[in-house]
Amino acid sequence: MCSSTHPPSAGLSFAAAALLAVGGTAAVADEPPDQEQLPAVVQESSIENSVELDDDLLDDSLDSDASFDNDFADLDIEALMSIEVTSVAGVKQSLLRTPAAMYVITAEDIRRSGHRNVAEALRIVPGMAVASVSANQWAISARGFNSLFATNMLVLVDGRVVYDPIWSGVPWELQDLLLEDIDRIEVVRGPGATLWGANAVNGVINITSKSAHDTHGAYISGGVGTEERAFGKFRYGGALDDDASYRIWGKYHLCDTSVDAAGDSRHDDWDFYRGGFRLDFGDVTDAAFTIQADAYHTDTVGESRRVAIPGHMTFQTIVDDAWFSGGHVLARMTREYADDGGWSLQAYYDRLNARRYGPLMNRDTADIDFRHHFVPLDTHEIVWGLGARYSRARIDPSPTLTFRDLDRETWLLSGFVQDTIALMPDRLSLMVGSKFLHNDFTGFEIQPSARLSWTPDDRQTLWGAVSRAVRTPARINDDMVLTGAFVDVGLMGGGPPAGIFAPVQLVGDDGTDAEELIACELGYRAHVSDEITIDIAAFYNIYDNIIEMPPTGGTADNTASAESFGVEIASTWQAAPNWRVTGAYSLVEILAHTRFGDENFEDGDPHHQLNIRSMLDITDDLELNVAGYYVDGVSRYDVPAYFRLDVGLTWHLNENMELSVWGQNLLDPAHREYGDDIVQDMRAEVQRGVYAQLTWRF
Amino acid sequence: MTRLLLLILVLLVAVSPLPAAGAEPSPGIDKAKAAKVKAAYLYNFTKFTKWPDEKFADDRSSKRKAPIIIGVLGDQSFSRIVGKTIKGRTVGGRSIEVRNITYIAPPKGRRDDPAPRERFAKRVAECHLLYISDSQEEHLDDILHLVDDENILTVSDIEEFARIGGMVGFVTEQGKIIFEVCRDEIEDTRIKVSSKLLKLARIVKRKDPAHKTRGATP
Repeated sequence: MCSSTHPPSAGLSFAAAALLAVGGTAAVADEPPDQEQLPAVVQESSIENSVELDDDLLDDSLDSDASFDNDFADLDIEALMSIEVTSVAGVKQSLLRTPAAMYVITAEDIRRSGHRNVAEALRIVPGMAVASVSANQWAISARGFNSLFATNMLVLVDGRVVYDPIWSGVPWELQDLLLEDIDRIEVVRGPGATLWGANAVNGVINITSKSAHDTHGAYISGGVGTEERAFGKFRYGGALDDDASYRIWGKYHLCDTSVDAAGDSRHDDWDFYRGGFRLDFGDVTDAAFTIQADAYHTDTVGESRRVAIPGHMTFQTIVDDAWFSGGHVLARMTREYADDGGWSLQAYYDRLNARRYGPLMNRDTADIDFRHHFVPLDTHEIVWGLGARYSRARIDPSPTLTFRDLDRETWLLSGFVQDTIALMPDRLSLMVGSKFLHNDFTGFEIQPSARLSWTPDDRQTLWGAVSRAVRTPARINDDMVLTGAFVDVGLMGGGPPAGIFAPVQLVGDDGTDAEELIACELGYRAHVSDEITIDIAAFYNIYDNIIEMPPTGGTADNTASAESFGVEIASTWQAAPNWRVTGAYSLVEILAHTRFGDENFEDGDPHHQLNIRSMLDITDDLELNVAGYYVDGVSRYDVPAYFRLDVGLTWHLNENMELSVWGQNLLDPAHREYGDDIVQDMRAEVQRGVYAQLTWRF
Repeated sequence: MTRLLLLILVLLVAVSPLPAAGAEPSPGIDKAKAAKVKAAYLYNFTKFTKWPDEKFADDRSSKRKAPIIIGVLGDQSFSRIVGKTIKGRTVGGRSIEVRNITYIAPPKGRRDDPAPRERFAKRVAECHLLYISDSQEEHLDDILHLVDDENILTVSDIEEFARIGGMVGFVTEQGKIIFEVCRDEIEDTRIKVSSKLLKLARIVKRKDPAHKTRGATP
């Protein structure tokens, strides 16, 4: 039993909280009149009075199993004693009502998955395609269109957008946090653009770390392994005074290389140093503040990339060290009022210095974001917000890769409003809203959505949604110039070799428009029994104006369109108090209409994915965690289907110490998961690995 | 530079005092819901408890009544939930105030500033009901010692709380939260708890004062 709870905490989870709160709106407003407003005279006999109080209020309130604002407060003790607090297989009630394909993983889920960084941990999310492209790169997307530069997923870490506006996609190697201090990772498959903005086309990943109030104490962990060569991390947190807490943390890891088909090293081993702090202060009933900062640095991040050689018609694969350093500082003020809403104001600055794929660049981002939610009428809850983001990128080009504008500033202005309407309190709820944004690439964009959820009883919810989302062009679509090869002009003209070589270039075009999506979704979530939950989501997506980069050179243009459909099924089974089993299956099919090859979009994702995980407490001190994954082949990159098995044993040596041993990718010595055909030579294979980890908390 | 920074951070850790261990979440419990139920219990407890008059600094001339103070020790998230639960509610004409309190250990040496500890002790002493988070288990003896003569109703979900010196302990049984009460502990003070509350409680006896330290619970 434990009383420490992490309510969808301050700040950016705001939006998530709003999404989660759908069912709760009516109840918040429905609060019965204060029965305890006794006249001052009766003060001396408060006990006797209380005995009479609201004895019979309970029966109807009990049934509604409220998970929103505390209407348990109106129950008397007998009623409280009869409330079931066991979650149905660990799923929060509020999640049941969410009208989106949302899945939440916690630090505990990650710990029991054995995954060692955020990117890998997403493998446990239903419908998420996670593929290791090299030892330090990942392609991650939901609902198709995956690639190393997966354009359609928006990722936020503590309210900070980590989507890369230059390359598009997310540099996952830099999103390595102290997993222990992650409060939750909310993954929404499908458009989340109304709340989160552009590029939240196929999904949103919202990573929230714990409040410093919840991380008092020391945590030290370290380990060694064959693939995870060495890692160490620590956190120390405490209270400064009654309303202020802090933590400082740091981590280091060194990962081994992947191999090529012959089993030789691909020199993509890498290391990473990161450290930071977080301060949370402010009064419970007054304004709360969060200040956090972190910094990171790499010594080596091996990459091999393909370069064209001037004067020759051949490629050369060169092995190079990419490197990164950077950091951010963020401040947030949150004010929550008991029943009439609240607001938050957040600002951050983020700096990235990188050399990746050749050019050296640095990027400064400054962002300010305001959100306010309130309840103007009993049946309405409104969230709205305004944001502005400034970004400046300075680029030192490489011979093969450059941008037309080497020092460029961009602005993004946005606003959104969303109303959650309780059509039938607790039962039927409608969420309508839109995001409006102005960006320097395509101008004004509007992204509306409507979501309806019906909760016929407290064990099931049926929901449906129609949304529009856009993906705005990244710099690679807009003003990149990539020299892919050199071709003999004579040969190119169909004649004999002329001995004169011309570059074949892939160039961005500043006339590209935003990609558009209209998404239709339908979902059903149920607590089949106290032990079993099931979550099904189906989608039909219509994409238009998809930007194509011609693979054989040419100019980017909005020449493709596509339809995709699929289904994701996730289930949790609490087989016994000490044994939990989860399973997930997903299907994605894409029909593309392109200029340069439909298969580029149609076959870039595993069509079928399946995972089954078992979390068993053998004794109070011994845990056995097993995860099996099946990932269908990706024919675009000639990647065959693979099975993956991870097995981990964790032994709680005493109250403070924990030893775990994990075997990962146990079924084969090495396998490929993905590829990339633009800038790199990617045929990396992920190897079987074993690691041991010792953790000490005190 | 980064290495140096990390080294400094590691050194900081090495010299810092040992804080409380965080409680492991139990699988299968809807923590948010459990917290709300517990918060509702705390509110109910204030309705069924009578404190001696001098616990309230009532201003008799203006007829303004001092609030009932619920202290939450060691769990800020929970204090917020309690705050939301009691917001706008009164008991016997008194408003209810929630106070988030962080444990401060007694000064160890002469050079330690005693003021934070004194402030902490004062904030605790002013409470009518003190909820002690299970994260505070290792400080329990000290906390119980602090509240000894202060006529404070102590509530906690520390295991066997009502048997090891506390008054009211939450227990989760078959997915439901019930509570144990140690009458002896209450009778040692001048707090009066309604018989209705006692009827619903599971009455337990205090164990031998020297309580064992609990291991990890499943």
